[in-house]
Amino acid sequence: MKTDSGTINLISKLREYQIRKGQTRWQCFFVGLGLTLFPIPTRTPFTNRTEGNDNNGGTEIPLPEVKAAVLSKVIEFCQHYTGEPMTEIEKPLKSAQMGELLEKWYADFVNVEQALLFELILAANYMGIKPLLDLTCAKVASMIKGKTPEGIRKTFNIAKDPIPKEEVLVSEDSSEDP
Amino acid sequence: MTSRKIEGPSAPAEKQQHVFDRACPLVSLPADALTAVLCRVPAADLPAVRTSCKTLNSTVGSDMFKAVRATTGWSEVSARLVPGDELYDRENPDGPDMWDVDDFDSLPEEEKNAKIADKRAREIEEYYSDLGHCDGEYSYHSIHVEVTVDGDKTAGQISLILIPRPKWGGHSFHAAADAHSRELQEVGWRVCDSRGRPQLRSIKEADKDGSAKFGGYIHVVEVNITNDAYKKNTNVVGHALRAALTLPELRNKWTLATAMADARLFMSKDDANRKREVARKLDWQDSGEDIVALMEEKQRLEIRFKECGALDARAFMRVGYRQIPEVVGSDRHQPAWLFALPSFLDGPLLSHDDVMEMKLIELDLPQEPINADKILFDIVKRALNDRKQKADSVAYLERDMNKRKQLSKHQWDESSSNIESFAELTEATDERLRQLEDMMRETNGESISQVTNQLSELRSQLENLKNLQKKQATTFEEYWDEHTENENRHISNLNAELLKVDEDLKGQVASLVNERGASIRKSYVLHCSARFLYMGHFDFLLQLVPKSERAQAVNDLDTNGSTPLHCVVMGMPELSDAKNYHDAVRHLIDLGADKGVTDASGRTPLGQYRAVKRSKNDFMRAFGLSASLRDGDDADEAWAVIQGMEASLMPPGGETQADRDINDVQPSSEVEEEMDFMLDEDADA
Repeated sequence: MKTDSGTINLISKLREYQIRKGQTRWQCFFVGLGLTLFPIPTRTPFTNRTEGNDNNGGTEIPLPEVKAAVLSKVIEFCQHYTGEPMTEIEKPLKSAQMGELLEKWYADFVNVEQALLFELILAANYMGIKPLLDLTCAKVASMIKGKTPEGIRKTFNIAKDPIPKEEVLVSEDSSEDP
Repeated sequence: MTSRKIEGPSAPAEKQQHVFDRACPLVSLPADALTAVLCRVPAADLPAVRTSCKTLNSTVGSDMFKAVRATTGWSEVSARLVPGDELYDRENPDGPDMWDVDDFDSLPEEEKNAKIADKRAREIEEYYSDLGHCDGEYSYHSIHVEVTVDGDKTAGQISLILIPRPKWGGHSFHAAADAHSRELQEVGWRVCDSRGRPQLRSIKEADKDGSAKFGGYIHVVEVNITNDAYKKNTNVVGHALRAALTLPELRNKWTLATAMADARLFMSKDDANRKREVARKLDWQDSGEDIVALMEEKQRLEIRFKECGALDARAFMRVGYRQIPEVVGSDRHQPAWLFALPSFLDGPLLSHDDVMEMKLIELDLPQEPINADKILFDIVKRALNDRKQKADSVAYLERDMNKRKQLSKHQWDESSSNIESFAELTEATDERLRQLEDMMRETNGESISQVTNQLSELRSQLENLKNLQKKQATTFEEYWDEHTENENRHISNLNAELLKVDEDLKGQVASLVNERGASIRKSYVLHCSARFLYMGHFDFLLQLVPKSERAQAVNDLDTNGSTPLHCVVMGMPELSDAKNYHDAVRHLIDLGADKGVTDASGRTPLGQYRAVKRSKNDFMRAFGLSASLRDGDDADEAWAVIQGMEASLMPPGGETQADRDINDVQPSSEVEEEMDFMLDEDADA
């Protein structure tokens, strides 16, 4: 598979680059792709394992927890993003249809099965890619919008352990008293 | 799909070792990702999310969720105007006070209720409006706005004040601003003229069609975000402000808005309290306090204060407000002042990043004096204050004595002229006495007692006249001195004290400078003495500056960015003091003061003089003292004084834009003048 081999190539390049420069993985990753759009996340999970002999402060990269299929989606997003900027999603969320909120490409991009969508959220969160996180989270939020509690449970396959309605109401009531 | 197994009461999202379960992906997201998703759910859907499952409920219910939602800008902020009748009921939970109704308690229930309803209606009619409180005399409204964040009504409040500026409302704007509060007096007077028309260049330039000259003037008095989860967040503050200013009830009700950024909203209570505490300790310099440590802490807290003020300013800028550049530096401790026209609020709220890129105008002013310099400053300030008070009482006593002296002299002169006529009378009386004595010799019997009576009366008159004549022998001066011995002693005592104050001060200053290394320049005592118009002190202090630095020292900037020459013209000019002011100005110019140095607002000393003169005119107009300096009884003299000062202060390079702006008064239309005239007539009637 083209993307997968491409990704693996990139990762090995990245390793090399990172060990040389002592930079975090995803920073290098995007440098490798020629994409330097995103702010580097301050919270980075890669700094805990230092390589003893490396006096450049380089850290060893653990193999990504992000699967190749997910990674290829991420790369696809990044590449598209450089060409067509994504409209900022209006607050509060106006519609349950992503197509009404932003460009068709992005709406289609997140029109995927749930498991992949959530893995994209994890990847975006993990890699600190803010626009992708915005897009994927908004997609999930749009799936919640306008649904009943039962509808929410059904959509996301949540076991029925509902909060008794009173509990929610009580906590809201108590917050109304100054 | 398989149903997800519930592992226990604790949410998986809170676990450290997170396991993502693809079967039920939403609830098994790590806490931060789950929060990121739920943040984007509209407020109206959150109750359904909360009822659907425990994990989601606890996430949405957490303070972390509220804070993240606020920071990312997804929280939904709305505002509600509390109308007058509701405000009334809140402030009078037990209904109106019925003390003034006789035997109220014994009235039948129905009548009671009718009277209560009647009184409530009357009080609302009198003190409230649809917008909130209403001041009857100046007709401004105090507006109370409730802020709701995601349905949380305890999020906070915003207080606004709305002053109407009818097109032909005379000069009541300043008086109304003054009646409301000190803050509004400060902002209103600086930003607008007495009719309420903007008088600062930046606002006039933004207000191209002149629509901000009339109509409502609105000022944000206080923003109080009470819930900690939303506090410290320009998103919530900005949205709340925008929602408040664009409330449907306020649509078309205002054409000019102002605000003073306030550090208090973003500063923690502890820091704010500590700041006051440190300032107090430094002021009193209690023994046993580590002054250096306190100074350092003061500096840290001041930086924090400034940051918090800037944050608040930026919250306003997100709404559409712009900083008022002319006001920067009116007080170095004060955060920015801002203004907005309704059109500024048309666009979407600016993002935090957008406004962070906008520069807040800040001043790079000299540091406040520290250590020995601070002590020197305090000593000089205290001594000059003391001296001023003593000199003021001497001047008062002397003025009073002069008045009395004139009065006594008048009486003295009157009695002297009487004495002259008495001299003739004395002779006549003498003559008459002799005649009577002759008569006595010839007469006897009952008429003798009559004659004796006349005789003794005449003798006493004669005695009086002779005394009066004796009095005339002394001069008025002798008489006056004799009768004012006490007062004279008091004055000479005071004068001796004055000399002592001066001498002590000189000693203290010299020892501070020579032994403890205090700096005349860094303690700004030259500015201090200039402010008091004490040129003798100025010269003495200047002598303590090394000779090579003196020319510079005369033009040093103080912590407010003013030169000594600026300081001289800061005081309110009184006609009686005009000579003192003018002499001080000439003296400093002779010493090499540069008339062209501009202060933080771009004003030369000439501009400073004009600004004070203008605010004095505003003051007199607002309180009905006299329309302006020029229209008073001493109009000609005042005019000459002003012309003299203007000529002396005119910078060699001409006046600056800021100097000119102060004299740039909005021309009043004919109709306005006519209305003023009619209002004055009404007032006189």
